[in-house]
Amino acid sequence: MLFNSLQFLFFLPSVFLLYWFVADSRIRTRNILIIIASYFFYACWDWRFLFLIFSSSLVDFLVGIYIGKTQRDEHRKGLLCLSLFTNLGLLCFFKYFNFFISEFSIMLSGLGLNTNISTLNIILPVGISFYTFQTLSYTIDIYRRKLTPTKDPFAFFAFVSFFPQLVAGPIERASNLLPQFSSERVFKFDEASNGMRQILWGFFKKIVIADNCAILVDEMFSHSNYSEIAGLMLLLGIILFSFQIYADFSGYSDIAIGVAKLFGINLMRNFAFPYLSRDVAEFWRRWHISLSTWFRDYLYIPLGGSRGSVYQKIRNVFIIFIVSGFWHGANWTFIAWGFLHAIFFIYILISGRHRVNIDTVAEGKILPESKEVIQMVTTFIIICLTWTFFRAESVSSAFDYILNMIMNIFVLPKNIQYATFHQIIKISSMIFILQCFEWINRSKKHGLDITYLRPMRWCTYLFILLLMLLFGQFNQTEFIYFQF
Amino acid sequence: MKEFIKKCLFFFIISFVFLVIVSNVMVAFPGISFRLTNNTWFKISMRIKQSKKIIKSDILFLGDSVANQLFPFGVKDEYLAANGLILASGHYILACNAIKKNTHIKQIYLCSTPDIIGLPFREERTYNNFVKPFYSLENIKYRSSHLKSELNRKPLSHFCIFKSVKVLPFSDVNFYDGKKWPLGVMSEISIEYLIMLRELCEQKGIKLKVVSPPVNKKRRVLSDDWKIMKQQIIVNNLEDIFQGYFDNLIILNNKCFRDGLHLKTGFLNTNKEKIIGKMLKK
Repeated sequence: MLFNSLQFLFFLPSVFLLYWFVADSRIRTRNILIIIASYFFYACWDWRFLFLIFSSSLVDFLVGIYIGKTQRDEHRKGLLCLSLFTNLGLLCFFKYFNFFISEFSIMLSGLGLNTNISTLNIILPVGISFYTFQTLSYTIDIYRRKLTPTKDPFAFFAFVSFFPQLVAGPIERASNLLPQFSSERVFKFDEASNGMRQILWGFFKKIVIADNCAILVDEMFSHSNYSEIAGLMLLLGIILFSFQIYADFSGYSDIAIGVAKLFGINLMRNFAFPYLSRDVAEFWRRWHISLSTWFRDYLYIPLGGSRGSVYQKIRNVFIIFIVSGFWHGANWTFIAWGFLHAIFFIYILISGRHRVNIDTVAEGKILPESKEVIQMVTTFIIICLTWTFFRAESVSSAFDYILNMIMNIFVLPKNIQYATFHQIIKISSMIFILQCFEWINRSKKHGLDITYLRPMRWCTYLFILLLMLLFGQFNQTEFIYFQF
Repeated sequence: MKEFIKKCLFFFIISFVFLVIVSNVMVAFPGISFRLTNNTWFKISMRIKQSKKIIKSDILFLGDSVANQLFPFGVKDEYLAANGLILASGHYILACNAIKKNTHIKQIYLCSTPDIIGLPFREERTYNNFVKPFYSLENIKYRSSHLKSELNRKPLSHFCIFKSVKVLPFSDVNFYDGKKWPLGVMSEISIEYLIMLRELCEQKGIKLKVVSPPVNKKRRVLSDDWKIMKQQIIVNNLEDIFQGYFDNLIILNNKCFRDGLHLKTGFLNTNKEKIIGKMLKK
């Protein structure tokens, strides 16, 4: 069931009304309703994988209890390893099995050994990368004695399967989300209203920005010979993909966070206007925050973080970014993407400037300074180049794309069809509107987090609705991050 | 909570009213709406709007997208060629509108290639090209029994009678039934509306002639020289309106076409007058 589908339009109000009006105010009843609704939501994707999410939840719930009970370090480590093995084992099997088999086969062939290893026809369960990391954070925090294990299975199962963030995050921490399922929820008018605003903003980003960008991006990247396309069009392709992936993923997060607010649940922020970043380090504090902080807390810091020798710092950064790239998918393009980000991040880290831009750009001012504009544009160009690897089918294809773009940058596009030209104008205008909203509200939680007088607010909402009506793509396309 | 639900409902009502107003404005100004949204059905709506205006000439040109290349919409009042997916039913409605407003019309040319004139209702783009622009209260009287049964296959398509539904981008209905229509065969709905058009023209003393823009040689081969279509014309007594249709057919090599169907711009610019002369030869 996609957020941008008619089924969800019926599903959400039904669950909302049942939650607040039918289910009594007891915590357990509401949690049971959340679990049923979430499992139903997931089953609409593929009911066969319900057992996976159930098993993962059950294992970690029990592991959490037993880690909490036992004081012996070996037992605690053993139980943690069980949780790691179960969750990462599931993830590795479903996501990476075929990749490792085929790469192993290539390696053996390279050594002159003929192999007949066949890959399996494995379907990647939606959301597995997200909920496995979410449950792992629970068991790891208990092991580190930062969290007390819950004995309420309903609260725990609701925490794992909560439908707004089940399939594409944000990857919640148990310390933030679990207590909310263990306590009474009270309906708050302001929170719910802000939730509705955030949902509207999320849909605008997905339907108007992301899905319109996708039309041209798919055309650019599916071309068999990039030398036949003008450099400016290839450049446009990368820029549009940058906005497509941002609008798609942050749009999903906005909808998830907004929907959660309707149920009295606060999810963590996942995006903080990343394209207003002044350097790559700031970008990573603003992009997919739930994943980057997860890797920081559970991988980077245990490895030593940015302490230690220069070699250790560089090693840790490379590990983090390559693993982060690999998390996205079993393809060398994602690893290359992570590798490139590591290079740019290391440069800033070694020069000690990774925590220079921690405030909001041009805070309190209407316009940025010219230095800030240059910084933002430079960072955006770097990020766009790395996105080429993320989007391309292969690493060589990505290089081919970039090289042809650079070599043909002064070649003007010929014979652009009216429909393409119209699409370019349309999407450029929409991106401009998006950036205006985000710039004006850059110190707020999302682009439509407005506090004007009611007539002005409602005019703004109607304006957004009008844009969706005129320019929205309602083909019910999936969100990009579902494939991860 | 109740306050929240009341406010949500109130907002939905306001939004609905706002969207209805916007939809009506968009439908009333299809030219601007088309430039804004690049939506095909606004392009067709522009033809419908034009068909209700005064046409100075006594000759009317209807047809498919290839005909639109030869008689481009907007150049002259009498050029109302759209595309093949408006189907014979769409051409019929355009003709009805034009004749009602312009009693001086003496001749109608329906310019359509043999493979397009007989297109069935069951195409993916039928909804956007025929149902959305043509389905309205005033056009209900033009629905034949066959057209009614096709629309009833997808009951949601009837909501298209409301202007707001037409504008809603997510209301698309797919009439395609999964079966590819064979080349060179006329559908029942096509034959039905061609007969209706002929009867209308006979009543009004208007000469109706079906002519064809140039056709790709490959299509002649693929459709086996349109043998089935020729038989259908005889069986349905349509020889009078199809007189000379195949004799005057201009068959060209594939290199003259940009996509196998539409003519290349360069070729068209050089040979337009010659092509039109041969097409309209009596």
